[in-house]
Amino acid sequence: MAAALASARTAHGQDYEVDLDGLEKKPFSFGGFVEAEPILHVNDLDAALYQLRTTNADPGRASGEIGLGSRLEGHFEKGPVYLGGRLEGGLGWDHLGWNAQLDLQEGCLSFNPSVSFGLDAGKLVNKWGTGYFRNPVSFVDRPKDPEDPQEALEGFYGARAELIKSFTGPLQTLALTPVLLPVTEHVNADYGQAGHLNVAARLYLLLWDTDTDLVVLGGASRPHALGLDLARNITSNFEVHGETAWFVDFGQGAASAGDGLEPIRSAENESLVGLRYLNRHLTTFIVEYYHQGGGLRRDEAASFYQEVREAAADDDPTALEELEAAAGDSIGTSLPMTDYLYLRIFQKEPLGLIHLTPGISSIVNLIDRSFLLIPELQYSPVTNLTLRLRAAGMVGRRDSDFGEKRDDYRFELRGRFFF
Amino acid sequence: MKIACLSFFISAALAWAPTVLAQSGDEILLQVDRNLMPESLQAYRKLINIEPDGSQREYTLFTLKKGNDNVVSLFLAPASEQGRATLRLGDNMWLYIPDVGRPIRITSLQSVVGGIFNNSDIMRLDYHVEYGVAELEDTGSRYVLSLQARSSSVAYDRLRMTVDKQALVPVEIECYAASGMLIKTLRFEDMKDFGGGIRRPAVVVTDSPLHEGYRSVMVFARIEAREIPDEAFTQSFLHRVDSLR
Repeated sequence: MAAALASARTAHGQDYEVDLDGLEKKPFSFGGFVEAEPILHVNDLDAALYQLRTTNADPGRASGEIGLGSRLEGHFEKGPVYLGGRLEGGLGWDHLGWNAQLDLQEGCLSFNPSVSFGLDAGKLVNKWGTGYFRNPVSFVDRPKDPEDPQEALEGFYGARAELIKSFTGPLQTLALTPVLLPVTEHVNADYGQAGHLNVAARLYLLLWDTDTDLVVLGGASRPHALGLDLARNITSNFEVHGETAWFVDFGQGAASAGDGLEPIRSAENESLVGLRYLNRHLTTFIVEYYHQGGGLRRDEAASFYQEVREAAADDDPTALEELEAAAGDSIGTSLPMTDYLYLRIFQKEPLGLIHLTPGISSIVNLIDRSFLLIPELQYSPVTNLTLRLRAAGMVGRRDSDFGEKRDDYRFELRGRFFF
Repeated sequence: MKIACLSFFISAALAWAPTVLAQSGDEILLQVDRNLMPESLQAYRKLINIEPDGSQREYTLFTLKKGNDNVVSLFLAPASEQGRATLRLGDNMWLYIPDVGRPIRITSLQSVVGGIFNNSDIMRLDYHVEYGVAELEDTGSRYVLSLQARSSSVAYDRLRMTVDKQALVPVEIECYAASGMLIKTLRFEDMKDFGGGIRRPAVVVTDSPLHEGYRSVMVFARIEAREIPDEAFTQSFLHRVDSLR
């Protein structure tokens, strides 16, 4: 059967056709990408995190890593019922050998009887917060990778409802999103303490042209939390945003004097303020300041690094393993300390070079002045193929955040083909 | 009898002509808007970026529009862009990327598809919403409207719109910056009947002296009037826009 085509002709006699059959919505849909990513690490052999992370095998000054991955997304939709999921799998190779993984990152069954009401149940990603590289109010999601904040996150199992109402006047939109998130030994075990049903909610308002969210988290798996975020355009090319969260009964794991994890603070604030600016040359600037009240202080971090160095000097693998476990959610994370500045600048299609986007990102630890610098080039030579070349350099003296990371430098090349 | 008929047609023409002549520029602009797009609609269109070497990139979009200033567009193809959605509520614009967090605010100057089209071309509001008629010129078969932006948040400070007098649709629009520099020219071609009383050019060809050799083409495949709930034009609904297809 011949395909139905809509054709149009320009004054220069050029014909354009649109496949109308292709526009018809189908109940099933599949897509995704395959990717390859070789990485070269130039390791800092004296860094505390190098010594901590390489207790089993020493990769040496230069080491390689190769990732071969794929994502498969699909959904089925019939009337108000929607069933969809995102599966990610891959093969990886590094100095320890080969490893494989396959995970359901996101998947849900939804019932959407109207535009203004929807129900979802399954493994959900909620995406709360207005920040680009960090989201303090994202109470029911995993944290973004600050070096790669645009990558999709893995969800948590739970249920969610969404009610939306539009108005005329200063309040244009109101949306309420309650979320239920259970934690057991087998479900969402990495979210927090098991044996509890956690409840979170977000109230979104588009009020006086300002995105406003009030968010709350209750339940016993994590500290209770209250948050507020805002985003607004000051001019058409200048946006400001911010978010703040208060945590009650906050317990931050800190390593001190060999005691391992130790709750040291009872209530903390986490905040972010930022801006996004586009100049007339189409250069985008993103600047964000992030304060993590529960983050480690300089002396706490220095004490930890010192302990690692001493354990390494004593060639004490047991002590190193204990310290690695203690590092867990604090110094072992990408942003363990209290105050950071994030900067990202990118230029779309410079000098008429179409489909090319060079950029540079930096994360500065404002406490010890160490920083990470990531220049990158993104290029899409043909439709559905993107290439990204990145380098990362960690700059900082001994006992500083980025000076004690595993790498001195890192070079990455990623090719991703969408289908 | 012949004279009677002739005098009837002359009187009718005289009665009609002053009405047309009396049409103000703003009335013409409003009619142009209504002829290009019904107030509330759904549309399928293809954007084609053509490079100097002849290579092309194509994007297929599903668009909903309601009232003067609500527009939402969903990318259906290519695969790398599938699921992205843009929302415009007056001067506020957001881009939703499925992988990334919540929708981010974007500006009219940016381009989510690259090439010569920017966001304000893709999520265009009615012209009369963003521009006032500063001058109207009658050249016989065409009107030439000089349009001035109502606010500085609009992508182009000034437009020179040439309108086909009979069909009351644009033939050509020149877009100028506040400095007077020509940024781009839009040519409206291939008049088509889309059904439901919608008859308008199916193709908009755009070129720019700032991007020598590049062209962007917007081809309308379907345009249909449709009633759409207000809640479809909200940030919270962007991840579900496809459910309205």
